[in-house]
Amino acid sequence: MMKLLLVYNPTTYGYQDRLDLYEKAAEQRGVQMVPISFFDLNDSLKIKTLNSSPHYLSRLGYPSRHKLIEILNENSISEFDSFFDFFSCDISFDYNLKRLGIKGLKTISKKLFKSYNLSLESVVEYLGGFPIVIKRTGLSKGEGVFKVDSLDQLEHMVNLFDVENYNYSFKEFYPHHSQGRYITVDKEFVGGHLNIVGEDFRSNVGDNSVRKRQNYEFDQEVKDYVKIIDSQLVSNFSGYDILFGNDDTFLACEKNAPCNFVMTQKMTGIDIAGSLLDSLISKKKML
Amino acid sequence: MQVVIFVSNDNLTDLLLSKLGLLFTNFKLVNIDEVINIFDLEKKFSKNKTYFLDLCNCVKSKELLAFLSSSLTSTCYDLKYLFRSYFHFKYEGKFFDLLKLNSLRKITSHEIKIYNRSVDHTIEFLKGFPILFKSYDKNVESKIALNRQSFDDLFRAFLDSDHDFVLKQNHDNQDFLECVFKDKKLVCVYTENYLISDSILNNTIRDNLNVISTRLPMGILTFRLVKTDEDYYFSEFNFGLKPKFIELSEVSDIAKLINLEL
Repeated sequence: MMKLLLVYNPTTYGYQDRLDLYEKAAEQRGVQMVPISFFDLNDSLKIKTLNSSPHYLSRLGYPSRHKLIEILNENSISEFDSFFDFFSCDISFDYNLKRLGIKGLKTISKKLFKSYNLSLESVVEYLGGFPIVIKRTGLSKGEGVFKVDSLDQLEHMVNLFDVENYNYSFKEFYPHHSQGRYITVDKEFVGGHLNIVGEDFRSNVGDNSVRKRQNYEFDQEVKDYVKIIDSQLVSNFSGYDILFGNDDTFLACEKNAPCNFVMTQKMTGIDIAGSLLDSLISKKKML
Repeated sequence: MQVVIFVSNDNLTDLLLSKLGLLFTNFKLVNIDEVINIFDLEKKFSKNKTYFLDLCNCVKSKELLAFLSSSLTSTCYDLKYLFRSYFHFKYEGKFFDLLKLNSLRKITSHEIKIYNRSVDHTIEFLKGFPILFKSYDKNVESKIALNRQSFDDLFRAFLDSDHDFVLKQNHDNQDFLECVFKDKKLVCVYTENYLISDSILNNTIRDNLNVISTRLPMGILTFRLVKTDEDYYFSEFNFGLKPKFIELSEVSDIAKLINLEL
């Protein structure tokens, strides 16, 4: 029986729900899922046994890549198109949209800000004036995302972030009424839903009892827009956050890979875990 | 189409400048080490067709290129590769190990933390002393540990600094081969001082270059191999060309390679 070796990070929000959905999808396809925690240290013997025959290899949660690579060998089948791509990762999402000539959030990264000694005034002016958003990278559920209304406030936050050695970026503020979660597998749309923005400007805060959601049929215009981005990215399993603006425009504010698909799967009934697994089953070994 | 070339104080030479003058009738030089108004550049370059040649290939230049890129931008490789990070040399060189190729052993301070390796294991992985300590902060001087005592001292000092760092296996940085690939084919090999024919490379190196070429994406990539106690080991790569290549090559060969129609 083929195995799905699924590396997970137990500190990732909602990881158990995702593992459960993967396990069910694997069972239905005659595949044995083997979860491997990011924190399992000194498990090289176990890994040698598991990867000694052809297997599907995937991960759940951001910082789990080193464990994924520890398991990777000539028997691995992954979502990536090539062995070179397996060792690559999408970056600078907002700049990429600008490069593609499609609407995105104006952004200044910390690297650019520091490398070229930009003044905060010039950053704010470029972003269209206050309010702007300062965002710590690598967090989820709206953590580390702040709307800033004055230079004083911005200076304090930047100082604090620098003292703590956080990575961050400055973004234009985009008033929006809802956020679509749009999931693709192998560059094709598989499912999505809509989060309604409440009193907080961040669309992804609050637990499930607070957040308002609804099923949603994405327009072809949105699908065409995401297709342009998706075709450029290395990831073959992505969750895009599409913001629908108060001025009837829309844009993608970020891409998550691997993404949390549990809510979308529950709301729509679409077997997203199964789609990913079907994609892996259709692929060949990279080496 | 306007041509914009990124250079830095580290790589800008008279020879490079004269070669660029022969290669392009008109071009704009951007020295990333000088004071630059990136917002003015963005206004200027985003409205016209622009060909960027990044001869720095560092974080600072890549970040600027990503910021300046628009739908009118082109370069000598598919721009989608600019919007990716690469860790082929990280994670204990697994990419090269699985291809049965030798890569220079490196380990970052971040990796040491997540792998929870013992000091002995780290030293063994780096194939013993000497071991090079290099900070990600350009202003911090690199150091060499010659024995366990100096390793412990340097490790503590670098950990106490505010910047991440990398430990590298001993190698001769002056004795290197740089190999230019275009569309998965090896097109040029050069050393510090001259171009060399691939026919004089030893069989092992030639075989290794053949293996790596089959795994590369389309476009131009430059791989650097450095001399270790044993042989030339893969040590880094970047998309695009390096200044040394421009300095050493015939103008006609460079023009053919980058396929630029002005």
